[in-house]
Amino acid sequence: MSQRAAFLNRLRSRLPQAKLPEADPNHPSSFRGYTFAADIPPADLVDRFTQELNALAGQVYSAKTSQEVTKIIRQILNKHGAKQLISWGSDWLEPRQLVATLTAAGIEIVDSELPVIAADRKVKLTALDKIKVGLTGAHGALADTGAIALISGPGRGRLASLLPPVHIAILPQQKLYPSLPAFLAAHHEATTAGSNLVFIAGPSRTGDIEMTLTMGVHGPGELYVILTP
Amino acid sequence: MAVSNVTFYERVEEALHDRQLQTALDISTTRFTTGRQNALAALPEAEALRDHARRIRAHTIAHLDRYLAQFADSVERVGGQVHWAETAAEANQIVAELALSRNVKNVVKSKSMVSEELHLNQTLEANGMKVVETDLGEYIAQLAGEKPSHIIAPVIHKTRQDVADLFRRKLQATDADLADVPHMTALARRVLRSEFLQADMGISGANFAVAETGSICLVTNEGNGRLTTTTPRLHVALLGMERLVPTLEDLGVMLQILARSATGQKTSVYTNIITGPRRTTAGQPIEPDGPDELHIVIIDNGRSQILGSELAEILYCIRCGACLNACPVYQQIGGHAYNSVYQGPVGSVVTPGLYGLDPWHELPQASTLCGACREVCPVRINIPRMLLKLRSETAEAGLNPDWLKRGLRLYRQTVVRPGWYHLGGQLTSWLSRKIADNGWFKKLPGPLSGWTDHRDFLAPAKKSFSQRWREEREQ
Ligand code: SF4
Repeated sequence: MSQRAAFLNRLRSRLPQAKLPEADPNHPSSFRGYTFAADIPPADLVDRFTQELNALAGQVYSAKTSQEVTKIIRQILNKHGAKQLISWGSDWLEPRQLVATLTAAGIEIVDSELPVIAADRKVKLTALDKIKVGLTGAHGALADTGAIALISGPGRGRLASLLPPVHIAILPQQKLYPSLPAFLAAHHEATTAGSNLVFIAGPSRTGDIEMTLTMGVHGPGELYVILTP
Repeated sequence: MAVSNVTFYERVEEALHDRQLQTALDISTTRFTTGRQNALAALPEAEALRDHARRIRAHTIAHLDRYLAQFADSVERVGGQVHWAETAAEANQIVAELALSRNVKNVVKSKSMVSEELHLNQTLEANGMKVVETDLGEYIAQLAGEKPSHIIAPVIHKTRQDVADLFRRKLQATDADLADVPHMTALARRVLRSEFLQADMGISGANFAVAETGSICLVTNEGNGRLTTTTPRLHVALLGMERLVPTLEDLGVMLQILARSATGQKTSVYTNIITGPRRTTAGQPIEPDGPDELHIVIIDNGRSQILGSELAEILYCIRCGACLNACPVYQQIGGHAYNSVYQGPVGSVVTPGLYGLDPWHELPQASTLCGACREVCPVRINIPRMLLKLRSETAEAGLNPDWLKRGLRLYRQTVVRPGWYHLGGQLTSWLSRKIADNGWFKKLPGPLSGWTDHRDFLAPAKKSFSQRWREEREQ
């Protein structure tokens, strides 16, 4: 018998003796009690998102044109004395001409594909670790928690939002959702489009030493979200 | 699991006299419990969500065979590999063989309670590998050669001075590195970052697994969970077999209450949902990064024992830690006294369930049966019912200490005889007037001293209830 069959058979033999209060034979189906729609009217989504993310020490900017977006990104790069970015591909950043504008402004977007060979991969990672700023788009954001949602895939690596100490995400306003359940209901591709779906709510933090809040322990210590029309 | 030769009561004694631990417990449990209350109060549907979450967990456990099979199929469909381990030894062997066959030297780990159950680090180290815990708290515990003392906050028992001394000894930290907590954290980040860049294998646990999609979900605040599952080319996830939910939508329900119950946060910083290894077409990667291999080890290790018993309800648990913070016993003795991976009220059921009552029968006694754990549990697990069940099994198996057995026998003989009972009452009342100090016992003799070692005990009233009852009626 295969390991799997033996494992599952063992469970089947135990289940009849299991004392399982309130176990329904049918799946309990959808939870319909969410109040988020009543809580956050669409007009308030931006304000609520901004307020929640600020409370988590993330910063929110608003930009109307790709020039404005570029300007904000350059300010952040200058603050860190940086000229390079780990970035998502141009197809995944809005406005579409952004990568071209950035390159024209003298900003280099480094290649961040990880090789399959273990040794080469380590060399590449060590080089990428020197880059100070990462740039991504976002598939959505949750107004009730201040989290942004990123789905990995071709041209959409995980490292841009993970390895550098600073993460900038560009988020078109119409991608704001009231909450996590609302986002999941609207994005059935969330777990099929790529190997990773991540919700990011503010900069990396820890309270492990004497419960003292400290930012940037493993992930980025600074998070900027640029809202675009 | 190793059973120490220091008894439970000796560990409790030690904890009660540890001033630092007492302060840390006061601060942390108060902060977590008030945080939890506020976070849930701000969510109008919280109570209904808890009911629903309970229904999801109950249904899943009742059909665990079906959902595990579905999960495994889903994982394989997206290119992941599934391994089945009945025992800790099997799980260790699976992971060690994977690592050896791929020439793994450096291993990074993000927090996994299952791996502590397995003692996986020892196995890998015995095979010549370097294993580094990357959650800051777990890393500090590993450097100190200690075990975590809380599900959510592993080193709440340490001061910043303890950590500074440790970093100086183990990491050759300078005064500048240790100036304050942010500097100490920055030092740990640098050291651990180089481990991430050089790692051949990342080992993680999983907060949840989704049967429908084959996803696993890991929540962290630090981001070490993301790095562990992204930089190494090989990712091994250890999954306790009960951690399933049927659908992605069900996962959404759980995530709405997990962080709120655990730390009082609305959400953890990173909710990381992993579905398969990095995607490929014709053998070539099409995603820029992520691990090239994903292995998920589904672990029983005593869980099916729990499943086929009166304790099965504890498998609904989502490991939020709320019952620890709410427990008046945990609040006093902390995690180490339990001497087990799983602590507090949930641990007092899980540990004897997994490893048998014999070495662990003291844990179900470490409860006042006040019901606070059941009150705060996001999936409303009736922990007191199972503690009572374990206590009665302890008595039936004759595992209680002799003084308790004799005491209970005497008590039983007394209370069934009204004459003896009254005599006993009068004796106690007379005695208490002799030794009580302003109506309080400050120090009781012999086996009764446990009641007064750490607090005063209220002496019985002069007149018993039945005496007063009689007098009132006569008036
Ligand atoms: S038993 Fe309930 S309260 Fe305790 S850790 Fe599990 S889910 Fe949380």
